[in-house]
Amino acid sequence: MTGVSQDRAAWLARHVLPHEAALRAWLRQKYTLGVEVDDIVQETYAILAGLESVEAIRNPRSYAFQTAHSLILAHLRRSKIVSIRSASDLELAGAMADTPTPEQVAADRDELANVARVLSDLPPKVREVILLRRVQGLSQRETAERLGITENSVEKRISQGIRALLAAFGRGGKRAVNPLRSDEGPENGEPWRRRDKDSE
Amino acid sequence: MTPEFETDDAPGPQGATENAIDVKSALWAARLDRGLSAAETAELGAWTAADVRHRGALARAQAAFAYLDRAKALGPNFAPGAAPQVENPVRPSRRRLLTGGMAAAAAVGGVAFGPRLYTRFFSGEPPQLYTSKKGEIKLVSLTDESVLTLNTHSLVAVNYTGERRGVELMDGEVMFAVAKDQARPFSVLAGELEVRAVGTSFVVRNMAGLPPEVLVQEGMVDVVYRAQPTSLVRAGANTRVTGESGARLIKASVSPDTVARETAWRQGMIAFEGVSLRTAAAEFSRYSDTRIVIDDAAIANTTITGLFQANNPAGFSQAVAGSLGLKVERGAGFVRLYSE
Repeated sequence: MTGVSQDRAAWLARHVLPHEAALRAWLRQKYTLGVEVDDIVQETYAILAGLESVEAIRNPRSYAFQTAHSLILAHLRRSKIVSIRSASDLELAGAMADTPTPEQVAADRDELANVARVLSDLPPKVREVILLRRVQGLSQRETAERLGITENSVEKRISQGIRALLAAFGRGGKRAVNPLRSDEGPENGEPWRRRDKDSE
Repeated sequence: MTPEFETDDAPGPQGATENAIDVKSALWAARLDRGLSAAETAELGAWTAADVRHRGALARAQAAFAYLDRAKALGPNFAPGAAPQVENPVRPSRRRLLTGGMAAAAAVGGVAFGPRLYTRFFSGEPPQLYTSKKGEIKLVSLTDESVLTLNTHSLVAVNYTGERRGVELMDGEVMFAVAKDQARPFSVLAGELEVRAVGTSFVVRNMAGLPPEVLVQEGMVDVVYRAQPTSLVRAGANTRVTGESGARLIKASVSPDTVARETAWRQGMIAFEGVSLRTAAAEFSRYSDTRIVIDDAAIANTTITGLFQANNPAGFSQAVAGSLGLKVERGAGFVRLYSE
């Protein structure tokens, strides 16, 4: 196997990536089960990538949650330790998976703004490559020629852009560390930034 | 051979949390984009065969790359004709030195885009971009001492020239406290709507699925559909202007109380007066990832009044439950309101 088809990549981008933050948030709450969030997420993608067809999937979000759910169960069976607590935690899976939410709607409508945000957060040299390749539609070679840099540099910068995007999807627009730029000073740790002196 | 990432143009991963498999799969996704040599095909085949997680991570990285297609929707102007020359003014090391929310917000909020990104409205200098995250309120002081207060999850581009001061509200809600400068008019673009002010304060909302809206707190503004100059409406303090379809503007007087209530977010609060719990829950979802779930339509239609902390949907639910005789269930990422 050498990667997924462009169609499948586009389907994952459209239907699964936007829900990844919610999936991870749910998986993080399963820490009592000893779940490795990254592992489950990657295996979930592997399963979705390996499906023969995704046409029949009506609710990809729900499908992804269910897939992750079954992976956790598989891990638990393997580890042979299922506490009572674990079992009751898992009952939530159904509830979490089937809830279309206001945030989902909000996430959809904000998608364009999110792309702009992610692009604006990229280091300038990475951004210019991404824009030429993805927006102007130049090939990697043409991008290299245009910028007077090696194709190897183009490739690396694209991979850096992908990493930044992956990090953004992983955190779902919430505060987190960008792998390419540590934006989060201590002052950003608070969910609120109070502006009124008298409220402090 | 394991290729190294360039270190001159981007700091390497600083969050210890980045997954090593992700780093590798991002590189493979970039290579797949240019096409693999025979040797690389074999190498990738071996890598993906070695671990199911490798296959998943690669699919995920390819999906991220496919996602960038959406950048095209930002319009042809989004692509810079020349390579962006603008250095990002933000360096992580400098960020750490800044303390105090306000100074930090103002100083580090700016992210320079390349030229010609938002030329729909602007020309010349590249605009400064300011964003706020979900649940965050950000204060931005501009060079003319005008102050923008960004409500949760908003995005604005600021472009000042010698002749005029321009701001585009691309998403969200912002309060503008405009410094007086007769020589340089201040205009805000929100969708197709333009708001012009000399010195005043007002709130502009531009959220998908909702008509753009201007709420004037003080002073006087002109609101106009850019394509329809005759649509111009002059609005004074305590006025709301709503953009309707057909390039029509509706002007309505509102009470000072309403203005105060609708700008309560600046203090991190949400104020409701006679709104349904359903509407209130949707409003909270703008600020927090914890959902308020109400399955019972009768409960959802119950109206409430009060002032609440915007980032505390659970506290809100407790308060509502207390006054309406409801029960609260707290779960993973949600708070449920129900009656027995």
